[in-house]
Amino acid sequence: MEVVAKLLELAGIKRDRVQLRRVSAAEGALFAQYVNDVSETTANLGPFDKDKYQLQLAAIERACNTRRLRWLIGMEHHLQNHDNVYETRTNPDLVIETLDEAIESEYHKGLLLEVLKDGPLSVREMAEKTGMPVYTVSKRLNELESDGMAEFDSHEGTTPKFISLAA
Amino acid sequence: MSEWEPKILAFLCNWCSYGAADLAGVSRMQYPPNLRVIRIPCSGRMSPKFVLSAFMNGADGVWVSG
Repeated sequence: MEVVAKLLELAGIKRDRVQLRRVSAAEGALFAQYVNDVSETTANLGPFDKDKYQLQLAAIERACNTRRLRWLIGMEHHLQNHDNVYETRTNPDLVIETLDEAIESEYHKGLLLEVLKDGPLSVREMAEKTGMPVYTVSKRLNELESDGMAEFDSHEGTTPKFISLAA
Repeated sequence: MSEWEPKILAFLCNWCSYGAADLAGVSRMQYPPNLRVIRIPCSGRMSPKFVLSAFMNGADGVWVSG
Protein backbone atom coordinates (compact mmCIF):
# COMPACT_ATOMS: atom_id res chain seq x y z
CA MET A 1 0.00 0.00 0.00
CA GLU A 2 2.76 2.40 0.96
CA VAL A 3 4.49 1.72 -2.36
CA VAL A 4 1.32 2.35 -4.36
CA ALA A 5 0.73 5.59 -2.43
CA LYS A 6 4.29 6.73 -3.15
CA LEU A 7 3.92 5.90 -6.83
CA LEU A 8 0.65 7.86 -7.02
CA GLU A 9 2.32 10.80 -5.32
CA LEU A 10 5.15 10.69 -7.88
CA ALA A 11 2.53 10.76 -10.62
CA GLY A 12 0.98 13.88 -9.10
CA ILE A 13 -2.05 12.00 -7.77
CA LYS A 14 -2.74 12.79 -4.11
CA ARG A 15 -1.92 9.79 -1.94
CA ASP A 16 -5.03 10.32 0.19
CA ARG A 17 -7.09 8.96 -2.69
CA VAL A 18 -6.03 5.53 -1.49
CA GLN A 19 -6.67 4.64 2.12
CA LEU A 20 -6.14 1.59 4.24
CA ARG A 21 -8.27 1.00 7.35
CA ARG A 22 -8.84 -1.83 9.75
CA VAL A 23 -12.36 -2.70 10.90
CA SER A 24 -13.42 -5.90 12.64
CA ALA A 25 -16.74 -7.56 11.84
CA ALA A 26 -18.09 -6.43 15.23
CA GLU A 27 -17.49 -2.73 14.60
CA GLY A 28 -20.44 -1.52 12.56
CA ALA A 29 -20.29 1.98 14.04
CA LEU A 30 -16.59 2.31 13.30
CA PHE A 31 -17.30 1.23 9.73
CA ALA A 32 -19.96 3.92 9.32
CA GLN A 33 -17.57 6.50 10.75
CA TYR A 34 -14.81 5.46 8.32
CA VAL A 35 -17.21 5.75 5.40
CA ASN A 36 -17.83 9.33 6.49
CA ASP A 37 -14.08 10.03 6.86
CA VAL A 38 -13.10 8.49 3.54
CA SER A 39 -15.88 10.15 1.56
CA GLU A 40 -15.10 13.51 3.15
CA THR A 41 -11.37 13.23 2.36
CA THR A 42 -12.15 12.22 -1.22
CA ALA A 43 -14.75 14.97 -1.61
CA ASN A 44 -12.16 17.53 -0.51
CA LEU A 45 -9.72 16.26 -3.14
CA GLY A 46 -12.34 16.77 -5.84
CA PRO A 47 -13.08 14.63 -8.91
CA PHE A 48 -10.29 12.49 -10.32
CA ASP A 49 -9.57 13.20 -13.99
CA LYS A 50 -8.73 9.73 -15.28
CA ASP A 51 -8.06 10.83 -18.86
CA LYS A 52 -5.37 13.24 -17.72
CA TYR A 53 -3.52 10.49 -15.86
CA GLN A 54 -3.69 7.61 -18.36
CA LEU A 55 0.06 7.73 -19.03
CA GLN A 56 0.96 7.98 -15.34
CA LEU A 57 -1.31 5.12 -14.32
CA ALA A 58 0.09 2.91 -17.05
CA ALA A 59 3.61 3.76 -15.89
CA ILE A 60 2.72 2.87 -12.29
CA GLU A 61 1.38 -0.46 -13.47
CA ARG A 62 4.63 -1.15 -15.29
CA ALA A 63 6.60 -0.18 -12.20
CA CYS A 64 4.53 -2.49 -9.97
CA ASN A 65 5.20 -5.38 -12.34
CA THR A 66 8.98 -5.02 -12.28
CA ARG A 67 10.98 -7.74 -10.61
CA ARG A 68 13.00 -5.16 -8.74
CA LEU A 69 10.03 -3.64 -6.92
CA ARG A 70 8.31 -6.96 -6.32
CA TRP A 71 11.42 -8.44 -4.76
CA LEU A 72 12.16 -5.37 -2.68
CA ILE A 73 8.61 -5.25 -1.33
CA GLY A 74 8.84 -8.95 -0.52
CA MET A 75 12.16 -8.46 1.30
CA GLU A 76 11.27 -5.25 3.11
CA HIS A 77 9.84 -6.82 6.24
CA HIS A 78 12.60 -9.39 6.51
CA LEU A 79 15.37 -6.84 6.08
CA GLN A 80 13.93 -4.58 8.73
CA ASN A 81 13.09 -7.22 11.31
CA HIS A 82 15.67 -9.97 11.01
CA ASP A 83 19.43 -10.19 11.40
CA ASN A 84 21.53 -11.07 8.39
CA VAL A 85 24.17 -13.86 8.29
CA TYR A 86 26.66 -11.56 10.01
CA GLU A 87 24.19 -11.11 12.85
CA THR A 88 23.75 -7.46 12.14
CA ARG A 89 20.62 -5.74 11.05
CA THR A 90 20.17 -3.42 8.10
CA ASN A 91 19.38 0.13 9.12
CA PRO A 92 15.59 0.45 8.52
CA ASP A 93 16.02 3.94 7.09
CA LEU A 94 18.42 2.54 4.52
CA VAL A 95 15.86 -0.08 3.50
CA ILE A 96 13.23 2.63 2.97
CA GLU A 97 15.75 4.78 1.11
CA THR A 98 16.64 1.91 -1.22
CA LEU A 99 12.98 1.18 -1.82
CA ASP A 100 12.24 4.85 -2.53
CA GLU A 101 15.08 5.02 -5.03
CA ALA A 102 13.78 1.91 -6.75
CA ILE A 103 10.22 3.27 -6.81
CA GLU A 104 11.31 6.50 -8.44
CA SER A 105 13.57 4.87 -10.99
CA GLU A 106 11.05 2.17 -11.95
CA TYR A 107 8.31 4.77 -12.30
CA HIS A 108 10.45 6.92 -14.58
CA LYS A 109 11.41 3.91 -16.67
CA GLY A 110 7.73 2.94 -16.83
CA LEU A 111 6.90 6.38 -18.22
CA LEU A 112 9.62 6.11 -20.86
CA LEU A 113 8.55 2.63 -21.97
CA GLU A 114 4.95 3.84 -22.21
CA VAL A 115 5.76 6.78 -24.51
CA LEU A 116 8.15 4.64 -26.58
CA LYS A 117 5.32 2.20 -27.35
CA ASP A 118 4.19 4.37 -30.26
CA GLY A 119 7.54 4.42 -32.07
CA PRO A 120 11.05 5.83 -31.88
CA LEU A 121 11.57 9.10 -30.00
CA SER A 122 14.47 11.40 -29.23
CA VAL A 123 15.41 12.24 -25.66
CA ARG A 124 13.90 15.70 -26.00
CA GLU A 125 10.59 14.31 -27.29
CA MET A 126 10.45 11.85 -24.41
CA ALA A 127 11.05 14.69 -21.95
CA GLU A 128 8.19 16.67 -23.51
CA LYS A 129 5.75 13.78 -23.44
CA THR A 130 6.53 12.65 -19.89
CA GLY A 131 7.15 16.05 -18.34
CA MET A 132 10.50 14.84 -16.99
CA PRO A 133 13.66 16.96 -17.23
CA VAL A 134 15.95 16.03 -20.16
CA TYR A 135 18.71 15.04 -17.74
CA THR A 136 16.46 12.56 -15.90
CA VAL A 137 15.27 11.10 -19.21
CA SER A 138 18.79 10.40 -20.42
CA LYS A 139 19.78 8.94 -17.05
CA ARG A 140 16.81 6.55 -17.00
CA LEU A 141 17.22 5.77 -20.69
CA ASN A 142 20.76 4.72 -19.88
CA GLU A 143 19.44 2.35 -17.21
CA LEU A 144 16.93 0.94 -19.69
CA GLU A 145 19.67 0.41 -22.26
CA SER A 146 21.94 -1.42 -19.85
CA ASP A 147 18.99 -3.64 -18.89
CA GLY A 148 18.40 -4.40 -22.56
CA MET A 149 14.97 -2.78 -22.53
CA ALA A 150 15.63 0.09 -24.93
CA GLU A 151 18.15 0.80 -27.64
CA PHE A 152 19.35 3.31 -30.17
CA ASP A 153 17.29 3.04 -33.34
CA SER A 154 18.25 5.61 -35.95
CA HIS A 155 19.26 9.18 -36.57
CA GLU A 156 16.84 11.87 -37.62
CA GLY A 157 19.24 14.49 -38.93
CA THR A 158 21.78 14.53 -36.12
CA THR A 159 19.27 13.61 -33.42
CA PRO A 160 19.42 10.04 -32.14
CA LYS A 161 16.11 8.24 -31.74
CA PHE A 162 15.45 5.36 -29.38
CA ILE A 163 13.06 2.43 -29.34
CA SER A 164 11.69 0.21 -26.61
CA LEU A 165 12.58 -3.47 -26.57
CA ALA A 166 10.06 -4.26 -23.83
CA ALA A 167 6.72 -5.89 -24.48
CA MET B 1 -27.27 19.59 -12.23
CA SER B 2 -26.88 17.84 -8.93
CA GLU B 3 -23.90 18.43 -6.70
CA TRP B 4 -20.85 16.29 -7.41
CA GLU B 5 -20.47 13.24 -5.21
CA PRO B 6 -17.19 11.35 -4.99
CA LYS B 7 -17.13 7.79 -6.34
CA ILE B 8 -15.29 5.65 -3.86
CA LEU B 9 -14.43 2.04 -4.51
CA ALA B 10 -14.18 0.01 -1.32
CA PHE B 11 -12.37 -3.32 -1.22
CA LEU B 12 -13.70 -5.03 1.89
CA CYS B 13 -12.34 -8.19 3.46
CA ASN B 14 -15.05 -10.84 3.62
CA TRP B 15 -14.30 -11.63 7.26
CA CYS B 16 -13.77 -8.18 8.74
CA SER B 17 -15.03 -5.05 7.10
CA TYR B 18 -17.68 -6.75 4.99
CA GLY B 19 -19.15 -8.09 8.23
CA ALA B 20 -18.90 -4.62 9.73
CA ALA B 21 -20.68 -3.12 6.72
CA ASP B 22 -23.41 -5.71 7.12
CA LEU B 23 -23.70 -4.88 10.81
CA ALA B 24 -23.85 -1.15 10.08
CA GLY B 25 -26.69 -1.86 7.67
CA VAL B 26 -28.58 -4.13 10.06
CA SER B 27 -28.25 -1.56 12.85
CA ARG B 28 -29.58 1.08 10.42
CA MET B 29 -26.64 3.41 10.77
CA GLN B 30 -26.53 6.38 8.43
CA TYR B 31 -23.57 6.81 6.14
CA PRO B 32 -22.98 8.49 2.77
CA PRO B 33 -24.10 6.48 -0.27
CA ASN B 34 -21.04 7.19 -2.43
CA LEU B 35 -19.37 3.88 -1.70
CA ARG B 36 -19.19 1.01 -4.21
CA VAL B 37 -18.26 -2.18 -2.45
CA ILE B 38 -16.23 -5.06 -3.82
CA ARG B 39 -15.93 -8.03 -1.52
CA ILE B 40 -12.54 -9.73 -1.49
CA PRO B 41 -11.76 -13.02 0.29
CA CYS B 42 -9.14 -11.31 2.48
CA SER B 43 -7.32 -7.99 2.33
CA GLY B 44 -4.24 -10.08 1.44
CA ARG B 45 -5.96 -10.65 -1.91
CA MET B 46 -5.53 -6.95 -2.66
CA SER B 47 -3.19 -6.11 -5.50
CA PRO B 48 -1.81 -2.77 -6.70
CA LYS B 49 -3.47 -3.57 -10.02
CA PHE B 50 -6.91 -3.32 -8.42
CA VAL B 51 -6.15 0.20 -7.23
CA LEU B 52 -4.87 1.21 -10.66
CA SER B 53 -7.80 -0.23 -12.58
CA ALA B 54 -10.16 1.48 -10.13
CA PHE B 55 -8.64 4.84 -11.07
CA MET B 56 -8.49 3.98 -14.76
CA ASN B 57 -12.20 3.25 -14.66
CA GLY B 58 -13.11 6.52 -13.07
CA ALA B 59 -13.04 6.07 -9.29
CA ASP B 60 -12.23 9.22 -7.32
CA GLY B 61 -10.93 7.32 -4.31
CA VAL B 62 -10.05 3.81 -3.22
CA TRP B 63 -10.50 2.38 0.24
CA VAL B 64 -8.94 -0.91 1.26
CA SER B 65 -10.29 -2.26 4.51
CA GLY B 66 -9.33 -5.38 6.43
